[in-house]
Amino acid sequence: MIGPALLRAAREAPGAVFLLGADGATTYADAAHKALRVGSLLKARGISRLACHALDSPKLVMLMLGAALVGCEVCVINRHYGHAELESVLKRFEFTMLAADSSIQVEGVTVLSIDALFADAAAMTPPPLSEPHADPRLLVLTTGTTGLPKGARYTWANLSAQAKTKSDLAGSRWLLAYHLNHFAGLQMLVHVLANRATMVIPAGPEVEQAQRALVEHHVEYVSGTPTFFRFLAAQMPESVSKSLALKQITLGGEAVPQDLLGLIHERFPSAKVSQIFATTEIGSAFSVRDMSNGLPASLLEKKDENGPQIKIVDGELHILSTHGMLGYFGEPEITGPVWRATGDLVEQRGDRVYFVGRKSETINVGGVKVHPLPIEEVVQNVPGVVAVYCYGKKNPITGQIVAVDVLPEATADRVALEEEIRRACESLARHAQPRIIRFVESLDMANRKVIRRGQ
Amino acid sequence: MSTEQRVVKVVQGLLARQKRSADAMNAKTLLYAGGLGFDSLAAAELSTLLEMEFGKDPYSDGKVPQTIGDIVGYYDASPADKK
Repeated sequence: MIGPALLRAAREAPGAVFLLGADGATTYADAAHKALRVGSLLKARGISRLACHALDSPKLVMLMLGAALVGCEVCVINRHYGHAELESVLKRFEFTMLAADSSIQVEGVTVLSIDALFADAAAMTPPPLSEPHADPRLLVLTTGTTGLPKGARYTWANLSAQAKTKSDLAGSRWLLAYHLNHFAGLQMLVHVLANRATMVIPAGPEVEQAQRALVEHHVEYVSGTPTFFRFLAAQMPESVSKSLALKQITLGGEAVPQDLLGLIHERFPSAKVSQIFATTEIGSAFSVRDMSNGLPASLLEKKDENGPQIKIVDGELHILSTHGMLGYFGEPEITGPVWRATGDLVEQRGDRVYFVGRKSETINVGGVKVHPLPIEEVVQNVPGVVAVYCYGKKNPITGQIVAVDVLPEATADRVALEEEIRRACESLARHAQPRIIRFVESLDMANRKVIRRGQ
Repeated sequence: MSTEQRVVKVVQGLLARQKRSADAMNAKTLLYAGGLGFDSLAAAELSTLLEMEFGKDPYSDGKVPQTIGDIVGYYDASPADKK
């Protein structure tokens, strides 16, 4: 449980650093003190549901924990949403109170400045240390890389139950390389708190700022998307990346191509690498550490009551979710274990289960189903390619044809690179060969994942 | 460049991608069986290449050109974006 865990940490390890942000360090005692005050303020004002539109910061963390302490349901919204997207999300999920770090105004919604909330909370009479709320909730929005975000309803208790604790992690330093609106960012928060570790919060949302925080604060553990690490490896000089004292890198959120595992091993040689499989709906299901892409097929046979259970139904990965969401916003609650479809299409080849794409992303070329991820892997392996996104483009004859957007290295000769890509793709089935190769200056990202929407 | 020259250039580009020699072709050259031998996938690619060159393509307009000349005729009848 998040509230009691914070209060206990504040009592037992008051001076331990919980949050390291651009504006300094916050100890567990500080964080508990401020969270209690701001939570009491929310309660005094009768706020039972609160949306937040703010960049990641120690204040945002303390506001979320303060809300949890008093049983106020909290939902962090993607800070990159503009006015229209924000308004639509608030309306859809029926929020009338918004805490923001900007002067944004939304019709029908009371907007509270986060700074003002903390100033008002500081001026309050210190609230008595009463019992934290027994079953606080939160609403976690899905990434929406393939459409409108959905709202997954969670209890903090279920989220915290997914965190593994180890005594040697106390005081270890973790980089927040996901955002707090993202399920994986929340997992990071509960994991750090459960282990009384330190969460390093970058000064801003750019990969470059994460890179700086990584170096300045001697981070030991980084959990991020494959896309994040690809950009980190591209931007960080090798001399710097090789000198870092990283203990562990955890990859999640997207399928992990084999070449990236090699690249990470080469650039961050001190780090052990693990891949975690988690979705907003299911929660954290399992992790693998064997430095190969995909999953060991032996997981299919595991019938361990306490361990993860997976099965393949019509080519789609299903997982038995034990501490996942209660349900989507507006739907009935389900408590207890439930099998959930992941939307990830997989293929078993030998003793391995490989990810081939998202169900919603399958490209239909003249009746032949084509999966984008194996194509991306082929293109990604061509020297000169920084990142690639494969999708189906509408076509009057075959319905769709395969197209790729390629982010080339700045120095690449694009004519020669296109030829190389075409040559590499000759290894693919004819229907899967990209018919359109487009060079782009950037790839759209949401929560540090490439946005996947067909055209 | 005339419309026919532009169309021929697009078709030659497609043939080059297929590693086929770009033989001399003219308005009467057949696109599919008995001519250049394009199948549906090649035609799909041709429609996209034409769209990229001219801003629109005959297939998306519901036409199925049989020859190079049919494609040229389509663009001459409804002038497309000039590049």
